[in-house]
Amino acid sequence: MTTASVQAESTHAAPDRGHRLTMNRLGLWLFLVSDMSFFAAVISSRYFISGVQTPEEVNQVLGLALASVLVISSFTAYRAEMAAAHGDHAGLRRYLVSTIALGLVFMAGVGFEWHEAYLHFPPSTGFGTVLFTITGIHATHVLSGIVILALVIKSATPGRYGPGNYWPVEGAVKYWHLVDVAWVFIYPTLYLVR
Amino acid sequence: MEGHTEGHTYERAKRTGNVMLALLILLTVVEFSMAVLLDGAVLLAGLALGAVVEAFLIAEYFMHLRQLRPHVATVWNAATRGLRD
Repeated sequence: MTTASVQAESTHAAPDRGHRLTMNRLGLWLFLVSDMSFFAAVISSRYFISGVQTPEEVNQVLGLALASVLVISSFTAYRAEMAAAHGDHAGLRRYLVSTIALGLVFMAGVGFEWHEAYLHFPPSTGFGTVLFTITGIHATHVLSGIVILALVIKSATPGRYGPGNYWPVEGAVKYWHLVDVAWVFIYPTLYLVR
Repeated sequence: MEGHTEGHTYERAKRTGNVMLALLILLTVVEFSMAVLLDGAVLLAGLALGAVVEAFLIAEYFMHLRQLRPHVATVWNAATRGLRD
């Protein structure tokens, strides 16, 4: 291959990469919007099924703790993406691991919430139906987010991701932020309205 | 297409993250406080507003929603082509 043909190929490749990244981002946002629509439908069902009353037995401290954990995990996920964007490999791994750890803490909290909730409002009750359905769907998203982030960590060999080349990190982190945005609406819906 | 992250320094990105974390924690505490102090329609409106603001902050600063703005017209035109033809 001559120098001229290599240069021509790399010049042609750059716009293709940019176009591919644009399409990746648009496609992911379309998926995220559709998933948020699904959450919107499920969250709104709370108001149809059990109105705006929240049982006294709902654990407010646990709800606040879960919300805080997810907000902090969104921060660590953002930091992971910024680390990838600026070639900070150690930072990328550190913040991805932190995000996964916080996700696991959240899952443990949800498990504890289910244990308590089953005693006071089992799935056969209106509020119980709503709580277990919404938190169950959300927990499934958290679990899949943890798996995706773990796969990104596994693929993050030194030098793999850097400025202009970190789409897997960006995509995984955006999905994680969706999980947090969903909880931003779920938390007041299940714990705070009255 | 270059995302808006590439032109910013790492330090600036870190600062943005720190500010957003503080704001989001503050909003979460404000929501909890509203639930303790208020009830009824006022509480509902306050919580809805708080959730929308939190979601916007996450979408704009953590999810880089602004990356889509140059492409909104393209997507809209493609989606509505059938209606216009």
